[in-house]
Amino acid sequence: MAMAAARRRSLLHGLARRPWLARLLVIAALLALWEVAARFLVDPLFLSPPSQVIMSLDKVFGTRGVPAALQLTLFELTVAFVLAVAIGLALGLVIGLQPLIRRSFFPIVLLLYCMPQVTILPLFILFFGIGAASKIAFGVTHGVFPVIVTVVAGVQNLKPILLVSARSMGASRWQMFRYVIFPHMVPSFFAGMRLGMSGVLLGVLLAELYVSVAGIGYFTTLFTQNFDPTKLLGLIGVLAAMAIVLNAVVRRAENHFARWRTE
Amino acid sequence: MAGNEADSPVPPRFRAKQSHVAAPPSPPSCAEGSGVEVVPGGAFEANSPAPPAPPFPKKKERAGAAAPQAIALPRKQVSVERAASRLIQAGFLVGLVAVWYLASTRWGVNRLLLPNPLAVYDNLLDILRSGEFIDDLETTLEELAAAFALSATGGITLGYLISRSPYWIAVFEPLFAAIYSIPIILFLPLFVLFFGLGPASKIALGAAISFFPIVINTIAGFGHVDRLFVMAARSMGASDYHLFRHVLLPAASPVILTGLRMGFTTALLSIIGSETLASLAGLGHRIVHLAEAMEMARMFAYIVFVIAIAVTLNTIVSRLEARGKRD
Repeated sequence: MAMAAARRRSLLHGLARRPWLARLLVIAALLALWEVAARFLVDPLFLSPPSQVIMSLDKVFGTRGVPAALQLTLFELTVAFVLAVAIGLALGLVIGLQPLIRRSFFPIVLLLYCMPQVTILPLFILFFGIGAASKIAFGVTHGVFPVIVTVVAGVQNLKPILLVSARSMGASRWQMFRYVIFPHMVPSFFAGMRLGMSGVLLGVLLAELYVSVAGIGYFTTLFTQNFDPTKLLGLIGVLAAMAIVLNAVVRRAENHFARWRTE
Repeated sequence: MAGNEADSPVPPRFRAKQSHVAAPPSPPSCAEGSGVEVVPGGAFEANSPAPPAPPFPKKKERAGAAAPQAIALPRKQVSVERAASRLIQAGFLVGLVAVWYLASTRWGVNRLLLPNPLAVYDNLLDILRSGEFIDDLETTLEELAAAFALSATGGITLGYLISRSPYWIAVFEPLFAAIYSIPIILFLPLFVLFFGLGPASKIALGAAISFFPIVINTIAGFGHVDRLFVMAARSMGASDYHLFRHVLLPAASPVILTGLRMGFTTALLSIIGSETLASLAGLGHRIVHLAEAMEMARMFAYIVFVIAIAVTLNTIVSRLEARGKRD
């Protein structure tokens, strides 16, 4: 009796000490709710229980074309991200380092950043076709602006005294960039890369869902129209996991490279 | 990625201060002058309204410093530079339209890809004059209002309840942040499956997407109030109501307002987006419809119209946010 009470107390105590355990319990409760709802309350044409979704993941991957579609989407994401970061870094440096250009073009960049780009999605399809090119282009335009803005902000946050002292000690332009500007820009650059990654994900997936001939957008449409929620949920789950992993990778990199400043 | 924050034995309420000091300089957001910006996939970063970094020292200024009229020089120079940048901006925009015009008339770019800007202008005037946009605009604004009302009430209520205990903050904040880092637009096919092609699926998706910035900012606002204020108010005998009205609410409202502004922007974006992807009515639907009918000039006109509406709405919301913070 006393032992059971003690065990219960230690269980509660353990839960109080470890919020992540409670978080897992919350997730488990939500999954259980979903399971019950799907099994007993909702039409199986619209929702299937998570157990069934997980069990049939292999069937999703077994569907002809799905692995290739995932690969294609991952390829689009990678290319779009690399392009967005490269273009954003170059433009951000040009805009951030020249005061006149910054004053002239930074407001334009901010205005474009605020625009709901999804309104011009049909234009991208017209210009770049329904293949991978339009997805990449749309991902780039979503990802490039956060990178530009953060790079400009990072260059601007540089203390002028550092530049003046570097110059007075006879640093060349390249040396100033390499040893003063670049290291100070790194933390905000990685913050921009993280924001750029979520932008690229949004852009590519929006374009995929809009029209697609071989990417995952094709299969989400197919599964929706066939009323096959098991496969649809499985595919979306895989994509969500992919998004979480990509975000986590960029975030790790950011924490890693921003560390020197806080120490 | 979500675990490290919660594993520490110190509840976030006590650590809030020191973690802000180490925060990297946050980028300016869409609407400038935001206090706390929640970024996808992570805890919030506080950017104290730091003064803008002084501009780079200019050669002319340094040369003129020794001259007798040194005091008068900088101001004149600043106004000259401002005029120059305005001139460059205007020149850039005029050049863009000129290139567009030349490309569509002289250089033989296909009319189906790039219509004549004059035709677009005529169509825009026609749309505004005939009032044919009213039905679509109404649909979109109704969806937006419903979605934002749902996410704002849900997000603020849930955020307040969670923020009452450091333990619940530690449980839920990383969970919400992790979900916030997923592009929720992925779930659009499911929403369409559940709620159909009509406005219901847009409202549900918009509410689901804008819920997360609001709830995360509400937790951040109420949960990270400086303990000193709370203790001071309590020791002076403040009741629960007084504590809420005079300490918690004023401390939290700037952060919550930022969350509401971000929620509004994302709701607008996702509603127009989901109308573009799958719908029966609304501004996004109209654009896609015209694109499929290959009426390019009219489609461009609608794009200009929708962008103007979106920028206006976002500006209004940012103004409201700034005013709410000032009070």
